[in-house]
Amino acid sequence: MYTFLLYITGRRQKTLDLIETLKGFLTERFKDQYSLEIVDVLEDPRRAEEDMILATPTLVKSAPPPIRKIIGDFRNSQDLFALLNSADHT
Amino acid sequence: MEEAKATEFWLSKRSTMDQGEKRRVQDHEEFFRVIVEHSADAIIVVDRGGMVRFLNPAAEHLFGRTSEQMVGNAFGFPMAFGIPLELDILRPGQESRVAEMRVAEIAQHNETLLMANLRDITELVRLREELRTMALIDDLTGLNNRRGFSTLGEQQVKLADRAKRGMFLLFSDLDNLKWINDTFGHHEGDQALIETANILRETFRQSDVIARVGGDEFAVLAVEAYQDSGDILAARLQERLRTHNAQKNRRYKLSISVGLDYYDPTCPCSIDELLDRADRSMYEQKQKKRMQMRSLERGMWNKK
Repeated sequence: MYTFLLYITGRRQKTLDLIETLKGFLTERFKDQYSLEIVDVLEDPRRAEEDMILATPTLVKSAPPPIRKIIGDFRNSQDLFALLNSADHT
Repeated sequence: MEEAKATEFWLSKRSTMDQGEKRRVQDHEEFFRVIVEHSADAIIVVDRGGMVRFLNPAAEHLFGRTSEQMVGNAFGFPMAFGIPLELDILRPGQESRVAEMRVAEIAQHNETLLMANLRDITELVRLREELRTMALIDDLTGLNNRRGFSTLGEQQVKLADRAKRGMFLLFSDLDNLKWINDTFGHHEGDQALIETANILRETFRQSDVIARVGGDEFAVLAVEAYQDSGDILAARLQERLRTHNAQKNRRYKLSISVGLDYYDPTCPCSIDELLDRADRSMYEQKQKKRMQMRSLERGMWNKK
């Protein structure tokens, strides 16, 4: 089971589109074998501080290990999956 | 990569150089250090694991954190190199800022690092949003205008195609606006349009696209709808309208005609085509209403 957290700032149209795009990518890749938690830092600033999130959007893959933290808008699924699986990136 | 090669060249050259050359290299290094320290753009260097190795004073200012707080902590691996990425920068105890980040690979001691340049574009984004709002929002109701509806609608069509999910377009028309204007004045006509907009806001979800697309015409793109949920949406709207009209001291009842059309992702079309189809469906409903009204009036006349 893959576990993802997406940190966002507010729910502007651009962010809603990003969530929609990400869900599409994850479903296509992992079917129903993943969970995605959305953390809006405006609603829960303490959580972002505790998790040392410096900017949004940030996507964290928390399971399975190793943990991956990716920063920035992801429009290209190929790039996103390459980064999630990258051996360099630990 | 040219910069990385230059750095490697200087480092290899340094071990074999004399005192004079070393002094010149030190001067060069001092010169570049001063440039980086005085740069108005924030510079952060991270390793391949996304851990912060270095940041300049502008980055400390942008992030509202000191080098000691950031170095060794995870910044994250940038999604893309070379192209600008827009980020919301989280600052402890302060308002967030918006920055444009560009990332380049640099080589240092046989290690590839990532250098991120971040420029604060908060004011630019605020102006951009203001302009966009002015161009896409209907002044009277605060809903999207026709252009706003087309822009957001086209985005939703792309998302629906990708996710293979259906949507409903509900086209509605406030009945008798001319009569309201003529009888109670234009201020009351405007009020009726605002009330209609509020009813639509209360009926539909925030993620749906709601717009005033003409004088008395409204459109709603209900995303994530199933093929059989059209009647439910229309019924929910009429129920909300009934509740609104049941309020005390109303001088007239609001009436809305509705047309519906389903967006089937297996038969893609543009948002404007979908709007035309729902418009036609609403027109048919309006015609039926008029026919019913006329036969009702005839029946009353015959009874007399």
